[in-house]
Amino acid sequence: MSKTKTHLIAPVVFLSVFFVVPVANALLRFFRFTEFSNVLGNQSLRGVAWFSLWQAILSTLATLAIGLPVTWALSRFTFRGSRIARGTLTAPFVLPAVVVAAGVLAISDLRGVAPIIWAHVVFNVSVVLRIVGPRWTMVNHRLEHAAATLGARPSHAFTHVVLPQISDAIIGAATLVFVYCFTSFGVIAILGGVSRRTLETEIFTQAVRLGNTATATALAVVQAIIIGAVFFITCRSSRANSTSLHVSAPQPLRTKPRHRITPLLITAVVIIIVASPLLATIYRSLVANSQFSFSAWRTIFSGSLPALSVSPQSVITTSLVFAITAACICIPLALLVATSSAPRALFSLPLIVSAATLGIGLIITFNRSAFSWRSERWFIPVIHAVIALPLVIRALEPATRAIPSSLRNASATLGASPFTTWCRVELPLLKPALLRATGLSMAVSLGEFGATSFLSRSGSTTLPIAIAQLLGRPGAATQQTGFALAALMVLVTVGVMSRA
Amino acid sequence: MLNVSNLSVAFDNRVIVDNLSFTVPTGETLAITGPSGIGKTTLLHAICGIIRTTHGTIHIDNVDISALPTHKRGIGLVSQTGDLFPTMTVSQNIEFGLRIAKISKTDRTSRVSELLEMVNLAHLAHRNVAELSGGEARRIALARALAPRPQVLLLDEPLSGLDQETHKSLMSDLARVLKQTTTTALLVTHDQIEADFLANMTFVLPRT
Repeated sequence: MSKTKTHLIAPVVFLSVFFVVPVANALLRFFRFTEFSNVLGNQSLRGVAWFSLWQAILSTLATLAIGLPVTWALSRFTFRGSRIARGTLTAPFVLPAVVVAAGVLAISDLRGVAPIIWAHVVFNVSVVLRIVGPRWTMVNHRLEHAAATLGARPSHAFTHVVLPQISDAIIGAATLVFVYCFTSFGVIAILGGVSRRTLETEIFTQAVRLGNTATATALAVVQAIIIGAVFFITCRSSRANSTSLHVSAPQPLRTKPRHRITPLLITAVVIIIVASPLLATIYRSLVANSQFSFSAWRTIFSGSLPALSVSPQSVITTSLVFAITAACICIPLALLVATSSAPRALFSLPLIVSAATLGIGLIITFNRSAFSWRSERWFIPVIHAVIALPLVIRALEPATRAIPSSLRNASATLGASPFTTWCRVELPLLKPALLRATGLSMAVSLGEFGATSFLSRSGSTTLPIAIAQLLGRPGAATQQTGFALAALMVLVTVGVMSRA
Repeated sequence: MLNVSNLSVAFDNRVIVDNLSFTVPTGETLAITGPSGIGKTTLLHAICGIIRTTHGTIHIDNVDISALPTHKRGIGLVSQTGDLFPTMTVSQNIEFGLRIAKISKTDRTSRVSELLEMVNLAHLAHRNVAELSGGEARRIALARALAPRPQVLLLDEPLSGLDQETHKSLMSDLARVLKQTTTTALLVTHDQIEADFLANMTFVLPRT
């Protein structure tokens, strides 16, 4: 067996047991065509599907409308503070959705469509920046100059020369944003109120609250069909638009003062849109009934709350233990995948299957005597590792690819075994990427809400679950403690990511 | 006729081009030579409006174009790398300036064919630009710059980085095209043989 294949045994087995088997099991055991047609014929559930679709489309359009101008500003120009601006705008990507939702709630105290879209924009602007930004940076400035010497106005040069080169990146970003918004769970759970339900929250309600697994599975299939259709359409469109860019390095950024005003203004406005909910969370954790008070912070570190079945300190400890355990599982597996040259399709699946679909699979598959793991405490960090795996592989891949094979050859000719070469030569080079990947894995675990909702018990309540519980209950003190936990998560996540 | 008077360009208080004046009569080619890093490309970019001048004026046929944006100056540019648009085919690249000028489809097609014949690459009309060799890409870049019939053509080291055989054949083709089209041209090069072969007059850019 080749070295690549032996590398992949552990990750493939892990992903098969904890992801492929549960999802396949849910679909094969509980999917019935009669239930599927019942779901399609049910006016209320059709309304849920329709709302899921249009709020996701609206959220995607809003994210592109806000994300593309700031991507242009930060990819084409440099100015004092542009690096901080980029960091501020990309940070929400690793923040838990419930924290972002709590932030929007902290500003307006309103629930409904507009706050949902705002939260989705806050969360997803970073996706546009991360996917479209590098491509836009690579577009050669000289091509725009060439277009201008041929008589093209800046708007013509953009539409005819720049846009065709970045369109596949825009389509890719829009697809991911749509899928994230369509399968959004934490944001809808907090900001949807009683009247706004999506397929994702309805799957949870049907499976966990009503015990109606067949309906939940039928809804998961409806959701998967829509996601599959979106991927199919956008892949075709992206392939038609894709082009090979023959530029080798990012272009120098223009720095003239007259060029900076518009990008500065755009960046400032988008930072306000993105950062204000996060700052509002911290503000609301310190102010209740117009009175400044540290009582919520005292409660989360030393008190208890009737609204929670466990103490806030126990919730914080549980979340940190889960995050560390998930990282310990995820990093070695991701490293095995990243250092092999095997196809990555299987390892990307957790990105496109919704958390609720995975949740149903987990509760029905790991509910039998020999594999009755769904209530075990260790099971939650294992599932967090499954969900973090695709992102962590992507974080490690550029670093593993950057190590030239000539270094391995040189080490071998000096008498080092492959293992010694890996430990002494490759691992030190991978250290920065491994730190970043660990931070990312911990951030994903700390913020995971969808699948954890299906598995969490009173002894294994995580921070996002506790925040959703506290913000969903009345009482100023309870709400303030919810905001304090959300603010703590903002600080911990940003702290973990900035050190990584 | 291209007339440049007292032209200066500076970046971050560093003067790149200092108080330069010259005239290129209609239909003639002026070669500007000098060592690398002396500001030859900067001068061309200032003339076509890609970068701002700090002082001086630029006239074409006695019309002051100094304040006009690049796309309104009527100046064509062939850069060192060709800068062909990677999302377009060879003909679409050549057609680009004609489409912007809203030339009819029939006229565009005939102009593209004429230019492809002129640069001896009619067989590559529908080729993706990524598949072109270095010499072919330079020829297409020349055809594209000539397509909208610019009043002045700027050539920024159009023959640099080519193998000896391609360099020789492209140099004679360029000389033929410039003569055939009677375009007023400004050629930047560090190669004295190129300057002598292609231009009617040569100007050595002084160090600032």
